[in-house]
Amino acid sequence: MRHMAVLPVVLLLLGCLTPKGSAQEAVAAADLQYEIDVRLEEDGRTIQADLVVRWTNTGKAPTSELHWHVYNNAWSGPQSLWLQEARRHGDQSQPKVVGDTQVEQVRLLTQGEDQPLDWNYQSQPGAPLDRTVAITPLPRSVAPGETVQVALRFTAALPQAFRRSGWGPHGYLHAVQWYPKLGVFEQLDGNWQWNCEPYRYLTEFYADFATYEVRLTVPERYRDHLVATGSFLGEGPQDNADGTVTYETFAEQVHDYAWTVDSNALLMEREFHAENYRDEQQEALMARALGKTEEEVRPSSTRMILLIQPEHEGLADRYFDAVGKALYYYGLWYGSYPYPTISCVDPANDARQTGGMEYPRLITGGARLGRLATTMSPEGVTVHELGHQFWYGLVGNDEFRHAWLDEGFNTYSTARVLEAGWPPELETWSVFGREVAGRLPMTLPSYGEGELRSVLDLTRWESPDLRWVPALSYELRHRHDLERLFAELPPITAFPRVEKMRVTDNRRVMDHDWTEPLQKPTMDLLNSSMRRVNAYRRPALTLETMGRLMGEERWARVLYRYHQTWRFRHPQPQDFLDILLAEAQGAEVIGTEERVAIDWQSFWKHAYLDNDRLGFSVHHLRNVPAPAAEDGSARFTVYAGIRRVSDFAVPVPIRITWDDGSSTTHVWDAKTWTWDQRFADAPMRAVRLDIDPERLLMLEDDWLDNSLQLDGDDRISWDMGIQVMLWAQQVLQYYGGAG
Amino acid sequence: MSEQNPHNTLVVDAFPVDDQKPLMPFGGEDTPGRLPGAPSFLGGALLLTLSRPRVLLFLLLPLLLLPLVVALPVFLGAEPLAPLQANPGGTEIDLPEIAPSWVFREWTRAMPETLPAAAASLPPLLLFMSLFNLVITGGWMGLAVSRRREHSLRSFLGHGGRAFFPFLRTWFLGLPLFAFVTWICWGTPAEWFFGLFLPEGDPALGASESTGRWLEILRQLIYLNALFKLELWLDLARASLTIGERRSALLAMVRSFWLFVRNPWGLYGLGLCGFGLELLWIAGAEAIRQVLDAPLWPMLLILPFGRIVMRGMRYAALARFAASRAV
Repeated sequence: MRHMAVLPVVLLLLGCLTPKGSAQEAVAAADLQYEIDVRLEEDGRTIQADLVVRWTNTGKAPTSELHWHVYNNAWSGPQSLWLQEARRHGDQSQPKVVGDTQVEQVRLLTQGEDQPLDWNYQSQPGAPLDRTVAITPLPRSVAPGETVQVALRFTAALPQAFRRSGWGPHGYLHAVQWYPKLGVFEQLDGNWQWNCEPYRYLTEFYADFATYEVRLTVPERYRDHLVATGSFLGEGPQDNADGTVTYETFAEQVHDYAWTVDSNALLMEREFHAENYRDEQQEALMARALGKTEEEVRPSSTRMILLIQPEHEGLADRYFDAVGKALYYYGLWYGSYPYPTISCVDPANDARQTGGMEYPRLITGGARLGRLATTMSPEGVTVHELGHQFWYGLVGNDEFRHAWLDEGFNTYSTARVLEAGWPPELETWSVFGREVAGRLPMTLPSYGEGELRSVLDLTRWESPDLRWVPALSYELRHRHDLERLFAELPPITAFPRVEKMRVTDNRRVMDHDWTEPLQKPTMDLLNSSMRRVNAYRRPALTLETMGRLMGEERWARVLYRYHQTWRFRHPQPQDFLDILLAEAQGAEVIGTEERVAIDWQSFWKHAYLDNDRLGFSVHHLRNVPAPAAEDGSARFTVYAGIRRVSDFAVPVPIRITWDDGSSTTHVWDAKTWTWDQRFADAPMRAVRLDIDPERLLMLEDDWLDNSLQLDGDDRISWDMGIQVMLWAQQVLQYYGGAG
Repeated sequence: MSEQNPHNTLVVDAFPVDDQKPLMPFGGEDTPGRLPGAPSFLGGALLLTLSRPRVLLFLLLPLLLLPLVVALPVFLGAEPLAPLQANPGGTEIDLPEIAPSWVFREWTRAMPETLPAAAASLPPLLLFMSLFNLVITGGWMGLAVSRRREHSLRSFLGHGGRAFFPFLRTWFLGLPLFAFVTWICWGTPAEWFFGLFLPEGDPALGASESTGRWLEILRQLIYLNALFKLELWLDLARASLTIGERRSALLAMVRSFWLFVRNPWGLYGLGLCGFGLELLWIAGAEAIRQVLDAPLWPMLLILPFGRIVMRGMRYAALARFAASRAV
């Protein structure tokens, strides 16, 4: 294995490790190297490995321990913290076949030493038998700048596909978090210490950037059916006498290493060239924002690899298109993807739980047969996971504490890529295993088991609660796709084309509880619903609001600078705020009558530190006839009133539309609770009052109270009412014939 | 016109009375040894329903009034949506043809109680309609097998009212049958069948996604077919009750099952043709609307009217069919 240590140097000299244009973006070489010799057993699920890690203490304090993540032990049984927390959150799922990592040998190899070390699993509060964090006491401290080398021998049995990792029974293996991995030695709460949290239900991962040299020895059946974080070295795999093949792989500046084999899947490759995906408007925007030419902001090339299920072969073009567009837009907005390859895995049907995840240089998507192209499957998930190459893969935040720094930024970016790259996604209904566009105006309520009233819609009969008679339950009718087709006649009763506008669609988070502020560490949040709110859509809406308020050019600069400054590093929320304050100073909300500067410290306080929701509402719009003008024309005094209904104060534009269709836009700084204006001697009536007509404030709680139109148009009411009436009529007629 | 002397009454719309012969389809001739097919029964029944406009108008009423329970709150609740005429960015919203999903979301958020309450009001109406349909079935069947040519709504309701309780017993007998069919398709037998093709019978554990998909489609087709036959069987039992003016629902079920076994293709064809015509009406009306680019509201009248006629036609045809076989 030692000979592999010289490989990076050689390959760097040959210039074949990083694509053109990426070298200048790598800000620091890793101080961490992993060499791993892996052997996948014939069963396709057990891994034997020898691992050598060289770690240099880049901190400012010594340490006499090494802390390791052993994530795979989360699946070793109900005693793990992950599974205990899952049960606490109401999730009873368990791996069908457990996973487990056994570390058989730990040795210190520094400076000619070769001595055994202890391997102590750290018990966790509430889960004393958890084995997802291990500590290796060292015989002496490792001073700042000093390097320590440790060798491990371990066996990892991966679980049957469960929550991101594992195998399928028919030749698929997604090997992630399969090896003991060092935590991050960094300053936490003012002290230098290991940041190595156990694997918890609400969190994902955190690790240091490293160089990986990994030899993967797999059974012959996996030849040409393997993708990995690392690039393959040499002409091809090496054949071994025992009927196995060995791939030598190498990756640098990545904080994790994943690989996937599937003896049934197809392997395809294509080259990504930005020229094939050009968006001139966005290129011009980035060029203006960064003071560069369009040529300079265009992303560099890379190789796209797809491991896809044979029955999804027809979706290959869509997978590649999604990866390509994502590489283009993310590269354009945040800087080129710096690695030579990106691999995308379409998981096996029996291992779908491994889909929709991101690892450095390797992502998993997910698709189903029979979906309309406009349902954005697999595009949606592929773009999102590819986006994590940039947010988390390159800007490597601590997901235990600040998951929003990757999920939030990535949810924000995903929506923008999908809007820029595809027509809107359509809502669908399903029939004969196919998705058809349309949305029913309402759905019949579904009653849970034990609810007597479920007999009302002829779906279920429950026996009354008689103590001496066993409870009986009959399912009278099963509502399935075909019955729904006949009962509800969706070709007629459905709204024919309901478009999901991805950016706006993030407002669905408004339906949820925002009990906890964004600043609260992710791992300590109340439940998974709160995690979804605080890590994904809420920060995405916050970023969207920031961007709209400050204008696209300035915002593009903020994101680019933040990304480039923290590429291959571990940012904290304060680091983003620092760049925001530096780049966004002077941003104003501009109306036709006034302009008001935005106080970003205040915005941050409301949006991030406190738990404020943002809300304005129209209070009144009145026209009072005034004495006629000298020429006899009518005059009005117009009264307009707006209320701020929450603590979140941010400048807001207000538009008044006049009788002749013209409008004036005012800006209110919202420092008081109300905006009450009188416009004397107006030559015509005001007919409409809109708060934030351009929808800058995506965090606004309720858009329905943001407008007031005198002489309102009831077209929408009629459309809604008729559609619902028609639907109810058909349902009644269908069930009228039943029984 | 005295009731005491009916022979003096000039009856102009009565069928020829011959109690010894089975009833034939409307206008059909008694050809010994050969019974007419489904189109003949359906055609005659269609004429029967169309020639009773008062009944049709009456049956239209509940379909115009009951859905208002759901639609009115929605109509009133959609008022705040009026100012939302444009997407963020300015493109105009073109409801109902093209709608952004966020409009629905904002609306749902603004009416957290009204919309679920409106939807929840529908199940009791479903049950009511299912029971009211027994009156409708009895009405059409009664008119179809009546020896007198009756046109009045009163006769229709009279037949329906008399048939309600016997029919209700078949309705109750139908419940365990529905449960049984559902159990076959989604319970242990289906699990066993799926288990022949998939590990643990679970599509999520199958090596191939297609296997699970096709099995699911097959299951739905079988279930739909079973429901169809079950409905046909129940209607046939009701026809049997009507023809013989009998009271025992259980015996009617047995008799109609026997009739089904003896005439499977005739009955199946009759049912399929009836449903097919109804589907044709629905699809045709929608196709014409789309070609003419007409608004949606006329469908509120056209669809239910057509479906009422088709349903009446099916019941009447089935009654005549059963009567023609009930030798």
